[in-house]
Amino acid sequence: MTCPTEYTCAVFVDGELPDIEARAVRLHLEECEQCRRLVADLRAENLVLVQCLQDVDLEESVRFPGFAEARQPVSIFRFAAGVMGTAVAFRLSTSILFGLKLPSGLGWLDPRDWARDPAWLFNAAAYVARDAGNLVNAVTQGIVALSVGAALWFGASRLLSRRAAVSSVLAMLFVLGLGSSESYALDVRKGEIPAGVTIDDSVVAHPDETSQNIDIAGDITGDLLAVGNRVTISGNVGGNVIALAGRVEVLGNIGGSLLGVAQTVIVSGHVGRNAIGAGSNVTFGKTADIGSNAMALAAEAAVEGKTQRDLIFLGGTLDMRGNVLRNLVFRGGNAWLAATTHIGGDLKGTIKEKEDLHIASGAAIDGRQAIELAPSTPEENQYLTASFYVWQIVWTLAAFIAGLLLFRIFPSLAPTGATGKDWLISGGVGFATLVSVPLAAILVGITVIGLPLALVAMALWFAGLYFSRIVVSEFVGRSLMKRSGALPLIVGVVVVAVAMNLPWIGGLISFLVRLLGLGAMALTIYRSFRLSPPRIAATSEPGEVMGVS
Amino acid sequence: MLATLDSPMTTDSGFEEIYRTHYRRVFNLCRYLLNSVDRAEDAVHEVFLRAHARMASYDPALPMSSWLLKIAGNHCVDLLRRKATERRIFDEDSDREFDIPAAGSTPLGEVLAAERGEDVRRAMSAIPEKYRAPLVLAYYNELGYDEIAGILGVERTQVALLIFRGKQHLRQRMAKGQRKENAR
Repeated sequence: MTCPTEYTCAVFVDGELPDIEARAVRLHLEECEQCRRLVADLRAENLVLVQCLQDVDLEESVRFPGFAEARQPVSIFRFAAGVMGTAVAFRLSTSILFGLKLPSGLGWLDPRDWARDPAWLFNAAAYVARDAGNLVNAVTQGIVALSVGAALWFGASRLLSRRAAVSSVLAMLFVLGLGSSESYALDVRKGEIPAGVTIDDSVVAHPDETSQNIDIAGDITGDLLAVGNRVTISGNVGGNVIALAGRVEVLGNIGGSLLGVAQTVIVSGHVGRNAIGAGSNVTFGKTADIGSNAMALAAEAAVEGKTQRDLIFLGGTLDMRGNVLRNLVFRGGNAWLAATTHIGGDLKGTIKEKEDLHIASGAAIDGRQAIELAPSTPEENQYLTASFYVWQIVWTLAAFIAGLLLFRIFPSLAPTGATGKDWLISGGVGFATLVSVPLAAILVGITVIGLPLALVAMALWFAGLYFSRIVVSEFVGRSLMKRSGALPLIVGVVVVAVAMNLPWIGGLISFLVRLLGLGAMALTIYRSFRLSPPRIAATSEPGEVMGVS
Repeated sequence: MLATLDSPMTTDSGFEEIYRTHYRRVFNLCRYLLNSVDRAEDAVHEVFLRAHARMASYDPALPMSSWLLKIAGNHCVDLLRRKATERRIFDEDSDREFDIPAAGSTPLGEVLAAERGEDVRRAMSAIPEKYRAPLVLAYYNELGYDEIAGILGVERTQVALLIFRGKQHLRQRMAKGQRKENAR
């Protein structure tokens, strides 16, 4: 017999040659030294393959997800019930916590009280959130409750199964849809509400297509949300008004609070509760009468009317001519108090230099004047202050703890991108996310049901920006230490924190870190939602290495 | 609606035990076949979900690992097929000639194996999918040609051919790596 081919020998060694042929090969091997050696080599090779491939089973490097991850999906009803239950529980617990009347001596413990001294911009934000009235309250509370509920359930679902993650989002949308249609039965109007028309409901006003303006000359008993180029309210609104526009003008009456965000905000009418104007120009005209506090966040503000309680100004230049029954608080560049000014309470403020405050001789201030000079060190080197480092340490620790929690709940968020290409993709996706989410939120937010969705999206977006840094930190730490865990995480957090605070290039680094982190997270989330892998180019390119890390 | 869980066949704790025992092996099979940790994780997940759902059809006479690996093999090959532009990736193709450049065409030696498992695995991940899948099924899963043929949906002779050529690719890869090493 002639020598069998190597192919035949290989099949023989695999034990897959038909019996007759195998017998022939065996006979041949007895007399052929060369073939015997080949067969021995092939056998050894098979052994090598089996060993090398199966050795991997002994490695400890395989990330071993908890069994819970391999569980069955839970039912969508259970999910919806869970989200709603959690939301209700959250809402109830917060109202018990925050609705509590504290004994007067302990009043300072109430977080709502912290907003009473609005010297800081931070407090101003709390002020807006608290005092913009019931609509904002109800909407934000609802959204916060639902987001928290959904986030908790989303986290839990990630631990339970991936499919459940999808159902949690569906459940959340479902609950949101339900919530919006039930509790905010809104009337959607376009263009104008003419004088003489009364709407017994809350209204969301869209601009009409041609003028892009909104004119409210009639009466609205509920709240009003108006988004347009020019919003003019000459009628009566019983509830609160939120107006986002290029120019907001209030000539009529508002029973509740006003939140006007626009380039120009002019209030000449009556506002029952608080009036908050934010924009480059904010004017409370001669006939303006604010039932509670007035607040102006503006480059320039002119106040001629009457404010029943405090007037708070944050911004550039305040031109004060009106009457404030309680305190005037300002923090800004210049303040001009004309002779017609009357302040029933104190004048409190922070300015850069004494010359920036001009008080005309006729101005009446019943209370005391507490003017502080802002520390005039705008050029101060932040790297030389102790507080900079203290805060950096605090933020670093916070990031570390947040990171531990994050990777505990979503272990797969840790980026696996090893090649430059992966990071390039991450960066691209990150940029897209950075830009598209706010845009989409604005577009979606214009519709009624979309508004809560948009707010949720923005909340997630901000959370993403925060966590982006942690995700990158984790990767940096893991790459440096060649393993994962708490120690590499804190190493990464520290390294990234230092890099982001470097002089000159820190800003760029921080931008890149956010892009990469956001992109990596967006990709992971995208991947966890698809049930089957996407069609991507064949991965059998030579360069690609199996991730035996 | 999605059905709820506990079939009388398997309590959750029982399945958890199965999961813990076999996770690593199933995962490694998926990683070899799919050549990606991420996709392997997804695939393992799906495999255990399927196993849990089909627990009733498990024949206790067979080892649990074979059953799970069979599900995993089928699932991954499905994924590979779905991914490939041409569905019949394992079928015969035009380059029928057996002879691949002679370099490294001698069987891999034993010495190599002991020290360089990592290199072998790396070479494995670098050879074309159509060869990698049958090699993995044959030497990681230790399946026979017939079983592999069933999973890949091709003839038995085609399996023999793919394995034979796959080994040649592998040797070539290893020889390349070796040359690089020596050049240093």
